[in-house]
Amino acid sequence: MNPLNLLWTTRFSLATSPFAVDATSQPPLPAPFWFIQFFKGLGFFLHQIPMHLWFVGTLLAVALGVYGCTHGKTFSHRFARQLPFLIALGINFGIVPLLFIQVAYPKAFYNATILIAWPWLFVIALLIPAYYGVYLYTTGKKQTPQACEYLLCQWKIPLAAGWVAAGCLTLISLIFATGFSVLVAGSDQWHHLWEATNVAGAVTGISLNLFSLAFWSRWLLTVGLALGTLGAWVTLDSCFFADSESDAYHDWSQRFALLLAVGQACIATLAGAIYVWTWHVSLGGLGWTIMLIGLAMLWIPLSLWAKFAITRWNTVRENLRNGVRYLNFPMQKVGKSQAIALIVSQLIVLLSHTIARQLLQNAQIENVYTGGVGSQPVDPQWSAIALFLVSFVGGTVAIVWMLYKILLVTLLQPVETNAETIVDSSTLDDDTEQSKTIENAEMTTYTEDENIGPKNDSN
Amino acid sequence: MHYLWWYVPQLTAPMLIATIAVIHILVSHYAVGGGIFLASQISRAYREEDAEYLGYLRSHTKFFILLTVVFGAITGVGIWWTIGLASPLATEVLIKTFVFGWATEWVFFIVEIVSAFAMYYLWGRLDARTHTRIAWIYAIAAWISLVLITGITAFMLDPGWAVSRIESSGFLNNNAFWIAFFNPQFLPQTIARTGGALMVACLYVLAHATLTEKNSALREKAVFRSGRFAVIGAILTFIGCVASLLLMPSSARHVFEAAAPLTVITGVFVAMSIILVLLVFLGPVFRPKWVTPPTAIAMALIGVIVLSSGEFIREAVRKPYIIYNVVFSNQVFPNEVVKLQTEGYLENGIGTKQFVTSYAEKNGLDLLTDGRIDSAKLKALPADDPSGDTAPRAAIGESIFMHHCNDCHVKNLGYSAIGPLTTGWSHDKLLETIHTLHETKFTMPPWCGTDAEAELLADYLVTIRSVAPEGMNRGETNANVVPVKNAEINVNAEKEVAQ
Repeated sequence: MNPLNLLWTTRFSLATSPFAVDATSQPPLPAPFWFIQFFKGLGFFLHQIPMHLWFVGTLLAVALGVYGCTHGKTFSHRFARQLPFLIALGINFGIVPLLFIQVAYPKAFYNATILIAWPWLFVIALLIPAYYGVYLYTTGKKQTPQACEYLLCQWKIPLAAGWVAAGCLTLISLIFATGFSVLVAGSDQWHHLWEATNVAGAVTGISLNLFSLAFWSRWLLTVGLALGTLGAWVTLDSCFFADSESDAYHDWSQRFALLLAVGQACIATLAGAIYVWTWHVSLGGLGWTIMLIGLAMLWIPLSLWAKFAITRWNTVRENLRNGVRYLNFPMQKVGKSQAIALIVSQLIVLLSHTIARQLLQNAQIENVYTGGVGSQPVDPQWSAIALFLVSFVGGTVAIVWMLYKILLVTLLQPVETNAETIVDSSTLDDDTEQSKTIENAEMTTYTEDENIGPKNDSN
Repeated sequence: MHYLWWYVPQLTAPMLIATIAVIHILVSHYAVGGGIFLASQISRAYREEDAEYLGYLRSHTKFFILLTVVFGAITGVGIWWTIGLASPLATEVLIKTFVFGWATEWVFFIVEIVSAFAMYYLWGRLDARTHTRIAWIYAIAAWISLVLITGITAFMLDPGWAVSRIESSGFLNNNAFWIAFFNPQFLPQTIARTGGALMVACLYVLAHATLTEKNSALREKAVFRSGRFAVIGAILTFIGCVASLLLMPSSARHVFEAAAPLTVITGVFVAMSIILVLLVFLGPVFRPKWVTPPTAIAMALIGVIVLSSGEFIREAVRKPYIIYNVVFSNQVFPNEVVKLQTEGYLENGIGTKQFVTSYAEKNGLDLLTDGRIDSAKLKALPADDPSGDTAPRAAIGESIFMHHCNDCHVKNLGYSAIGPLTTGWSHDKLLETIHTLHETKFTMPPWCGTDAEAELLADYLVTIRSVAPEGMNRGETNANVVPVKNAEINVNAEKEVAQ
């Protein structure tokens, strides 16, 4: 059997439904189904990394910025500076799965989202305060990580913006979970939602799926995975980009990352198991095996942590027995290669989640596409596919070149050295003169240097 | 029809698209024009070793990113969200035809994001050559994304030869990608939008520079240089708009003449465009000193009016189509009309079929034969009870209204409300109009149902039509017009239906 067929070969018996269509009679797909699925999966895989980070990361960064210890505040400061880019990237990566899901099964996607139209549209309304809130929170903080005080402290506007952003992002995650739980809920539930909210057959679009176990377990599964991804990110940042931070911070960040990995293993496994229990489809032996492998994968990062960092398990138990705080057990420092292994293990978790999710989605949507989503006719637009692939390669080359330049600058010029230059003179009134002076000094350097590049101590 | 219909009271779902789209284009054009402006100015500032001007450009880049990368990106996604909810069939056609055009555009979006952040956050840390290259990468990627999306939106106005590739399913043949993309409106609209982007960039620079830059020499420099961009933009926009008008389908040109509100909006568009171009010449180009914050804001507002009215015109001239000659505004393929007139509109819609089935079950009505809605049984439905306790004809008629008409009309109050539009119409007049929709009004789609369904719709419309305003002498009699009271109208309506 062609392994690419794996994702759509499961077949189930279906009840007749007003929403059901014969998959074989649909207008032809513009690309082979495996191709559409591959890019849908790739897009989701890329999207979920920044999405996980902003989802739980924003809330934790704001909370640690206020209530955390010194290192927690340092983490908060570092992470907040990365957030705007992560959100921009996450939104853009999200376009790909959104695009290909509409190609793959429009009859399911449009009807499901129309049923929850207002909450679905509310995502956009929430994204705007969330994104600007993140910016306000990030730029409103003084560029001194240890202090982590806020400008405009009289009103604590940036802090409030941070909380608002975290709240909006949490709400968005709930809406997405309900949206996709409706998408795969099947035509019976659609009929109930339609029945409850239609006016002469047209839906008001106010349905939500809040009282469904599938929705809550799905959302908790995302929370768990997001914790793990944040843990991997903390490890990456600490091991590769935080040379200027103290050893104590590195130690703290390692413990924090471990805690997040524990969170992923426990929450995601529990939620995933409950979610599996809510399915109304039969996946067959192969499908179940993949699902179980997916759940087992959740424990790989934690196992690696145990191998690399925890030196004495008995001390952990002693600590817990004695009521000592969870982060106090002895650990050894994780090296860069070990950090890479931890990050790769998390990527494997996300990849297995992506595959399992796609497999399940195809099976569940067969409720709408009778005969299986994979049996839709295909009439490939080869020349347009070639245009996309060529631009994809070209775009990747351009991005890699820019990232190389960014990394070169970031590694050669530690951020703290240049942090002052990032300070926005328009928002930081007190620092205006200082900022201008620095800019002028840099420009003086440009004019003296043939390359017009800033001179830096680290050069 | 093919999908559930989203009922948005007072506004109609497609108007949500227009609202979000207009907001988005105000930012997305700036994302393109501003990118070209910044790239050219950054290159020039480095070349001239103009540290002060680079300082201003940096401040402008921050503003640019905050607006385009955040608000522009979100509203762009917002359009995606809304079109799928409000025009699912048209969106499906577009997606199936242009998915790889959009996927290619996405690649350029990512390039834009990375380059925009690198351009701003590494300001002063990159060498001049790399910094300039990154700025140009952004500008080129942004412009290509404009070209790609214009190919798709221009297709909606005139698919050109691509209509010959429509299959029996109503969808375009998948080989139609290129012919659909390079449609007759593609080049004119690309030129017009590129020009518009440069003009919009100038307006944003004017507003930003006058409001934030205290150094007058620097401010005037930014104003003057952006003004030159606006001049180029104005020329391109003029060429593009004229070419677009000349190449437009004759039916679209006819809409200009047939729809009075559109004539007014077109007048506003032309007048405001001329005023804006004159102001750009007088201010930024000849006397940059004259551009103060109030003038800059006024010019920006005029720009908003020009862009919004331009987009409104572009949307309106497509009527009665969403995609000209491909999908009607009420989510029906042209080649489905005869089938719907024969087999029935209610039978062939997801929402309508479920509604009739469910309604019949709840009210003990026999409307189905072999699981299909029976037109003869619909016709034989007894007249609605004047007391209003049972009104199956109006109830089912309302379902037809919701799916057939609500794309463009609300009921009584709001956007293009059908109640006021049918003020004082008799049942016969309504029925006749329904049967000849596209003849009565050039911009309306044809009636897509059976005779029995037309009667049910007329029965419903009678219940929501408005009462003729009191006190108006319409020349029907020489005597003063005796106003008809609401109650009388309703009683008369019920009598008409009963007959």
